[in-house]
Amino acid sequence: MISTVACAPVRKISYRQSDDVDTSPVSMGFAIPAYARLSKGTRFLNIESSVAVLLSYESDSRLDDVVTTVTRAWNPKGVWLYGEAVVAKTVSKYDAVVKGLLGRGPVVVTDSESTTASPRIDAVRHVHNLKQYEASISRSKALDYMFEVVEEAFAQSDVEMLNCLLYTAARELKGTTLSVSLLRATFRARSELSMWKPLRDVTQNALSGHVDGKKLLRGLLG
Amino acid sequence: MILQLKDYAGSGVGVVISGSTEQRHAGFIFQQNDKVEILHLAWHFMLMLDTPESYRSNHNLGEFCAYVCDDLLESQAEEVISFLSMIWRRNRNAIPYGIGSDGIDTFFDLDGSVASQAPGEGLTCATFVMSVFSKLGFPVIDSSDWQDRPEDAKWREGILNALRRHPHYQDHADAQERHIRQAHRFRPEEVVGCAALLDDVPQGFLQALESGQRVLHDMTLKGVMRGVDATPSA
Repeated sequence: MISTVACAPVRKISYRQSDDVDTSPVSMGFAIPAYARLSKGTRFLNIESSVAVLLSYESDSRLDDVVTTVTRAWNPKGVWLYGEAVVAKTVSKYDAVVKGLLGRGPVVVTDSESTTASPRIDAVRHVHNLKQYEASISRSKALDYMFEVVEEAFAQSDVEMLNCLLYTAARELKGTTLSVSLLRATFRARSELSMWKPLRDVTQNALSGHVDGKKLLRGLLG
Repeated sequence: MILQLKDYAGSGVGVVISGSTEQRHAGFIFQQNDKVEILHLAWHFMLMLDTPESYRSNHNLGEFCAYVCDDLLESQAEEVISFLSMIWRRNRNAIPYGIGSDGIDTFFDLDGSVASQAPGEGLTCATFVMSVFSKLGFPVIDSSDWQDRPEDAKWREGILNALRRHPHYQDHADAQERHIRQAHRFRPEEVVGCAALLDDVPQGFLQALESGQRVLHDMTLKGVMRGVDATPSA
């Protein structure tokens, strides 16, 4: 499950990572589901909720429920994330993001920082980076990044990642010109990308009241 | 409504044209990182990225007219510029020159690289412009009613002869023989005119012809059009 989040740059957040955190339910103030409590390699990360939602992108649906539970149980400003090895890796991957958020400038996640590899995670990472570039540098920078990502995926025949990218964009970039740009960047492969038309339809719907909606989508509706 | 050609003023994306009464040359002009640059397919495996100054001086292309693609929204111009940058990074020495017109829409592979390096495949400077726009969903010309003109075959023959002057390009030229009588010729001024006057609907043959005439007229008025130049470059 992919959560939604407004992913504007976050500054001066309170961040503390606990590698050897006390995992007892009592100390956390809420009940951890048994399967999570018993798993090995569980890690905890206490961050503010805006970033925590970002991290929850990578949770599978089961853990998303956990995150929701934890968010409600812990406190409204913070959230604990925890999970099994694969999610712990994802959390580890985003340590860099969280640390970066303490500084200035765009916080992007590169492949070298990634400790997990899956089309979905890559897609989420790319959408996150697109937003970061647009918000912190310029839309042009975001577009350059987008075209590189898309072209590289084409070169690797990574259709699954591209579909994940389109899917994520349908939720995260809805109604923005970046979603139109992604449609255009992938336009030439639209017949091979199952998520192209759904993103197009979502975008068209979101832009229906936009003053330049028709022109923005020029060439993409046929 | 008659659309007007608007000179490129240094922002957004536009198209350039230079050349002589015999031969014109077309490309893109855009601003990136506060610099104005011109991207054009100069010849076989010669995609060039120039400043206006180097365009004028380094390649003997001379003065040029530049028109903004006025109907593109700012966000769309940025998309074209990013795509051009990517094409340049990936294809600077990889785009063959060819007179064929069948594969304009599919010339660039899904990864932005040249789809086929087989002998005979290629673009002209003008079809390079068409191909880029087409890949992004902005087709500038509707070729369904395109017509061949008497001098087009002669031009195609001249291009192949020019390719044959290079010892390594013989096969490439020979493989294009079939295009001499079959391919459409999209002239630089027609493509530049259609791109500059880009509208919701791509221009057909007669409209493109008219747009091309306006470009030629403007080149002449501005003193950009040179006399006869024997070097085919488009």
